[in-house]
Order: sequence, then structure tokens, then C-alpha cells
Amino acid sequence: MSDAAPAATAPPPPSSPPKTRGSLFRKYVLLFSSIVGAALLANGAVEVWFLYRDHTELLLRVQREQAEAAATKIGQFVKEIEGQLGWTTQLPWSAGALDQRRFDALRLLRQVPAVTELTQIDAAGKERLKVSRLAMDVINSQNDLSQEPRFTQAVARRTFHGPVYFRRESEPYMTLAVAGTRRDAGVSAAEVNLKFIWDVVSQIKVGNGGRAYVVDAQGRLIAHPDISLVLRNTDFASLAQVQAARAGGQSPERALSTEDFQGHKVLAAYAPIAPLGWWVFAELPLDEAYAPLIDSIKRTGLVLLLGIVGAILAALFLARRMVVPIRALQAGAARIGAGELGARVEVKTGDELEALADQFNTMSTELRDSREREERVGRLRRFLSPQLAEVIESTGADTMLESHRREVSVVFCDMRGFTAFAESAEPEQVMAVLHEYHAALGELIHKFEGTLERFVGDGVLILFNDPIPCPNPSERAVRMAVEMQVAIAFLAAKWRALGYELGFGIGITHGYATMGRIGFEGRFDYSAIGSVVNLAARLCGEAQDGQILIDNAVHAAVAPLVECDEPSDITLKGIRRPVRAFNVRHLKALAAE
Amino acid sequence: MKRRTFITLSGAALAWPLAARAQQRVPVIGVLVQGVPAPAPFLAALRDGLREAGYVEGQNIRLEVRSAEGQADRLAEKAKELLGLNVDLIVAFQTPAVMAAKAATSQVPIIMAPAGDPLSTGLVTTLARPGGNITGVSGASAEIGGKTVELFRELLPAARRIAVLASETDAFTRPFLAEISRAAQILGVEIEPTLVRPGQPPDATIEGMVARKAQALIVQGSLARKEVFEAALKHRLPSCSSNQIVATLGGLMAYGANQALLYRQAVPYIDRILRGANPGDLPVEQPTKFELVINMKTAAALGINVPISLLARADEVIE
Repeated sequence: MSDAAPAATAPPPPSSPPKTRGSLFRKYVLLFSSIVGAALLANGAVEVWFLYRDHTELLLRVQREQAEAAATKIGQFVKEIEGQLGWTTQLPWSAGALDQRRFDALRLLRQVPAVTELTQIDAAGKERLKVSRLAMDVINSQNDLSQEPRFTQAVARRTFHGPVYFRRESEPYMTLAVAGTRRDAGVSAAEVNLKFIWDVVSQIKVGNGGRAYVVDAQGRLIAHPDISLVLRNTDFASLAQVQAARAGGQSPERALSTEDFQGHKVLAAYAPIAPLGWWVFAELPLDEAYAPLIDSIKRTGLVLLLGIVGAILAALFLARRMVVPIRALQAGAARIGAGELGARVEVKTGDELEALADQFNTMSTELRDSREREERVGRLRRFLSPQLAEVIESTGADTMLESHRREVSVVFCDMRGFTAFAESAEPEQVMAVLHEYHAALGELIHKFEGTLERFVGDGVLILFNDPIPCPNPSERAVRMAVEMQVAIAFLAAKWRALGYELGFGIGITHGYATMGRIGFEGRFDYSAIGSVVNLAARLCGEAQDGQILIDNAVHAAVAPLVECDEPSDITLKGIRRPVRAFNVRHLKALAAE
Repeated sequence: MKRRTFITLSGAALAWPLAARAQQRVPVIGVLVQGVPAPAPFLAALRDGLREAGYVEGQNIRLEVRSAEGQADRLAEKAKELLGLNVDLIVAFQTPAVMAAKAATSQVPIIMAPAGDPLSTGLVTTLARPGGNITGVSGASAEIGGKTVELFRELLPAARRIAVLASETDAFTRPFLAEISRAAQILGVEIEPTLVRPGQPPDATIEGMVARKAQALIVQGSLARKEVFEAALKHRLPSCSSNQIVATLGGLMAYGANQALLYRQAVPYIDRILRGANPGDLPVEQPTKFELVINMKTAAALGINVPISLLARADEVIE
């Protein structure tokens, strides 16, 4: 990674400890993927919920319809037998021969295979005829059946549905009795083999593993695809679905999720067989019922998973797009912090981040330029006065150093007795003295913002008002000179203690001079040329130890500030007319200052 | 088909660890028949039913049929032979075969396909939960014998003496004859039972019956074979049995449970036992459909006028 390498070489800046590295990336990835993931999850959950509800509803409806269809069929089966029995009760017992009735009864057995035995009872409750498929027929036995429910109930309610009973412990049977419409028609009672209902029930296909079955009002099994359960006289009354049916069977739901008799989870729907008080149940194993649902949940889950993976990938990509430039910027800042000014950051995202990186680069470049300038100025300062260095640096030396004329104040100073000292003393001693001397003067030159034009051995030439213009150049020059005398007086006292007899004199003039570059390619100096410079040097030469000689022009400028001795006209070498010079004694203590 | 195969195999594997070890072992069904009556219709119905239930002979099931060829005393030997083949279960056709199988093993499941009135012959003690290793289909109960007498009385109101051909070797014979005697008493007819062995040639017996003035013949189900009915017809003796097949063999009439259905009813038992069910837990099923078949050709040959009351009840009339 391009952003990581510089960060590794440069010491990490203290403001960004490494442990925070990458947390933005994590945040972005987490935030983005959790938002997208949550949206997908919510969508998936809602979808699954609706799917579940619709699917369950549909399943239960289908099952309920199957149960209802079976109930209708079984109801019809019973109704049909009742209808057939009705035929045998149309004639009064007074009319017609028994033979004819027997013939009708036999034909009924032929017509309705489920009826195993048919008994005909006259209006008085006497058994008149009994035909059977197995037992021998009995004619006119006159057995009194008037107290039996199949007679009394049939007479009272026209039809009688007896309880389910088991012949020879295994075959489910029911007595079905129908009374004739006429009072003297009597009752026909049939023993109905309920195994025929099995045909109806076993034809009902409830899914692959489902089944339908019938229980009677007491909850006993009447018909079941596994006929052996019926033949074994199984009681289903304890099953939740049977209890639900018997308890509140009229509720519109008529379906529930429960367990079958073997304890398997099933979806059970039921329907009543109205005239009999029986119930048809249709059961579908839950695993089968929900297999398509589980499939579609799996599909949804897969899509969800893909979506979340996609979201995470997108989050990674986006976060990388965000974080990589940020890290590059961070690394860039670290490099600058470590001193590598001008460090550049490469970000090509084409967005705000790239703009930020560009600004960073601009800033970095400017920082480097500024530092370089500062270093240049620093170097210049070592040779030039700070003012000159500043000016040269800010304006570019060329214009400043062009030859020009200006009115300047010139200060020239040197030591008295230095030549003799330099001859007699060791060079190390001379250099030590010069060093202290220059140090003291330099400090004051800086303080008064004078321009140090040159050193000449112990002589020092200082300009005011060039190259930087300043107000009251002469006043500054004089004030500086006064302080110089004080400073050097201290040094002189020290030197005297060491046995060096050294004094200090100053000459100050004011007038026009020509300033500019002199010298040759490879060695230029900034120099002032003019009589005013010579005059300052000559005045300095004339000055006794401790004296500050100023010319007329200077005096005119500083007269209100200083106390001077009486002027004296001095004849100077190389100057035709005598020059009037003033020795500055001290500064006036002005209240205003 | 694959799924069925899998279920069958896994069911068999659960039931018999041996089968589990052999894994691809095809279950073997032993079929024991006496040979009288002819087992062909039974075997055909059994194979059809098995095929419908997903069992294809030679693929996922093997049938080993052993017949005593009409010699009842050889049944025991044949039953042993089947057990020697390590069969998974024995399907026994009619009471003598069931009896022989029961005598041979109390371990290997036995399916009655069918047996007449297994309660009164003592094959099982209850129909709902037979217990032991026997279950299956109950054929007609002994009551059918009484019903046959009644039908003969209706068909031949003048008949006073009815001969019965009963098996010497069938446990069902006793309850069967008892019911017939009871009915005869009620209806005021005489009964002349003759006990024979299943494979015994019937001609002399029937000649004797006719000589003793028998006017009708009831043939026990396990003796119903062509020779008997042909001999009866030859001696102009109206004959009846419980198996519908008799009518096509020249008999006059048949009344009893629908045999084709009974045969097929054995298949669910085979299926469930191969899947690991315990035969003692499977209730014995009773017939639900009874049929009356009348052979009008025989009637015409014997000069019998079949009353309309019988024709109206007949499920099948062979013209």
C-alpha cells in the first residue's frame, strides 16, 4: 500500500497513535453493512411471515375442504341407506304378504352391500322379518322389540342412528332405523357395516403422508386408512383435535396444529357429519405441510445472505475509497510532522477528497518554500543586518542593491591604541578582545536597527536610512553612539585590568552618499561611497577616547536632544576647508521621553 | 418405485437383523397351498395385489410356492420345506395350510389367506388382537353353511335330503357341519355328511350319495374342485359351495364371501409385516362382500326352475 509505506518509515506523529488506525474503516463497514443487512433482514422476515400465514391458511383451507367433502360423502352414504330403508316402510303391515316384504328386503341387501342384516318391525314393535347375509333368515318371529331404542327412537324421530358397536370385537357396525310415514308402517332397522366408510376415507389423499379418518360422537375411531386401528376399536377421544371438535366444533377455524395418535406433529382440520354427530378429520404431517415453506424460507435466506455479503463487499469498497485517501493524507501529515516538508499525497478519487489532497499538497509546498526562505534569511542574517537580510529576502536583492543615492547618517567607530595592542599582544588575545568588542557593538547595532556596512579591523561602519529608510536616522545614530561609548567603557575597564590600554572613538556624519553593489562576480559587497563616509572616518580618527564627534548636519538634527561641547573647526586630511565638529557629551534627560 | 423399494428394504431390515446384514437381500414370501382347490386364481390375485403395492416378483420380492398337490398329509412337510428356505413369512391358503404352517413354526409370521372362521377352529383367540404369529383374513364363518342350506331350500323347496362333502383333514369341518345341522333342523331337512380326503376321487362318493337319495350337495370350500362338480352334474345332483369359482366349474350355485377380494386382502398384511409390523398386532379382517352366483346352464341341465326371488338376489348369473 502506497499510503502505508511512508508511514512506516517516518516515526508516527504523537497525535495519531497506531491503535486508532483503521477504526474509521471498521465503522464504515459495520454501519453500511448493518444498515443494508437490517433492511434486507426486515424485508425477508416480513416476506417469510406473510408466506407462512398464507401458506398455513391455504393448507388448512384445502384440508378443511377435504374433510368437508368426506363428511358430505359419508353423510350421503348414510342418507342413501336411510332412503333405501324408507322404501321398505311404505306399506302398512295389514296389507301385503310377508313373502313380498322378504323379497324387498333381499333386494335391498343386494342393492346396499353395507347392510348386513335387515329387521322389519311392525307398528306394535314385534319383529316380523329378519334377513341376513350370514345368518339364516327369520320370518315372523313375533319377538317383542317395542322397548328397544331402534324401535322407540325411530318411531319418535323417524330415523335412529345407533351408537357404533363392534361385531365379534372387530367389525365396526351401526344400527340405522327408519320409521314409516304412516303410523302402521312400522320400522326398518339395518345393521350397517361401517367398513364401507373406509372406502370413502381411504380414497382421500391428504398430501403424501397425510390421512383422513372418522370418529364417532364419543371419540371412537370408525374409519381410518389403517383399518386395523378401527378393527382394534381404538379410542381417539384424548386427541387434542378430537377434543376441540367435540368441545367447540362449530368454530369457523376447524383446524389446528397438534399431534396425531402416534405423537407426530400434524396439521389437523375437521368437519362434522351433521346427522350422526361424527367428525371427519384430515391430517397432514407438519414436515410435509411446511416443506415448501421451508424451501422458500431457505431460498429467501440464501438471497438474504447474498444481499448481506454484497452489502459488506460494497461497504468494504466504499470504505476503502474513503479511508485510503484519508490514510494517505494522514501519512502525508505525519511526514510533514516528521520534517519532510513538501511531502505529496497522491489521491485520484475525483471528489472532495482529491480537492483536499490538492490543498494539502499546496500547503505542503508552501510550507517547504517558507521554510527554505527562512533558512535563506537566516543565512543572510549572519552576514547582513537583519533589516538588510529581510529586505533582500522579501524584495529580491537585485532592486535593493542597484546603485542609488540617498541621504544617510554614517557612524564610524574604532578603538584607540588598537594598532599598538595588536602588535604587542598574542593573536589569540587580539581575537578575544575583538570578539568582545564586536559582540558589544553588534548588539547595539541590532538594537538601533543600523545597517552594518563593513568591518575594517577594529573599525566599524554603520549606516542609517539605507537600505531601509528609517525616521530620524541621525538621532538613532547618536543614541546608538552614546550607548556604544557606555558599553565599550565597561569593556575598556576590564581590558585595562588585563593590561590592555584601549580606547574608543566615534564619528557621525549625515549627508548624501551613493550606495550599491561593489566588487566582482563571486565577491560583491554592499557599500556606501561618498564624502559623507570619508568625513565620518576622518571625524572618528579625530575623536579622542570616549568622544563622539558629529558634523553640522547631524548636530542640526539632534541639537535639542544632546549636550555638546563647544564646536571646534577641525582641519581634516583630504578636505580643503576645516570642518566644524561637535563632541556629544551626553543625552539630555527629556521629560517627554 | 425406488422409494417403495427403499421403504420395503428398510422395513425388512428393521424386522430382521439378518436381512440388515445382507442389505440387498430380497424378502422371500413362502406360499403354502394344499393343492385343492386349485390355487391358480388365488396365486394370480396375490401376485396382482403385490404388484399394485409395489412388489415386483424377482426384483424386490421372491415368492416360493409349495403345494401339497391335494395330499393334506404332505402339508406339514411342505411347510418345513418353506421354513428351510428361510422365508420371511408364510402366506397360507385356506385352513389346512394355515394349520400346517402353525404346527411348523411359532416364530415366522403366518398370514391366513383366508382361513374359514379362525375363531372356531382355534387358529386365533380374538380377531381384534390375534397375538402370536398368525393374522390375516377370515373367510366365511361357519354360518355360511346354514345359509347355504336355506338357499337350497329356496331353490329346491321339495328337497328333503342334502348331502355334504366335507374334508377329513380340515379343522373348519367341525363348525361347518355343526352350522349346517342346526340350519337343517330348523328348516326340516335331513343332512348326510361324508368326510373325504381332499385329493380323493369323488365319483364313487357322489354315486353313493345319489344312491342314498340325496337331492342336493353342499361342498366344503376347501374341497371345491372341478372333478367334484363334474361328478355331481353327471349324477344330476345340484351342487353348491362357498367359493364363486364352483359355478364356473359346473356347480349350480355359490354363496360366500367374494374370494377375489379375500385373496387381495392378504397383501396389506404382507406389506405391513415386511415393514416390521408384529403379526399379533394386526387384527384379523372379516369379509364384507358376500356374493350369490347361480349357473343357469347347470340349472337348465338339471331341469331346475330358479325362482325369481333367488335371481333377484344373485350378484352373478352365468347364462
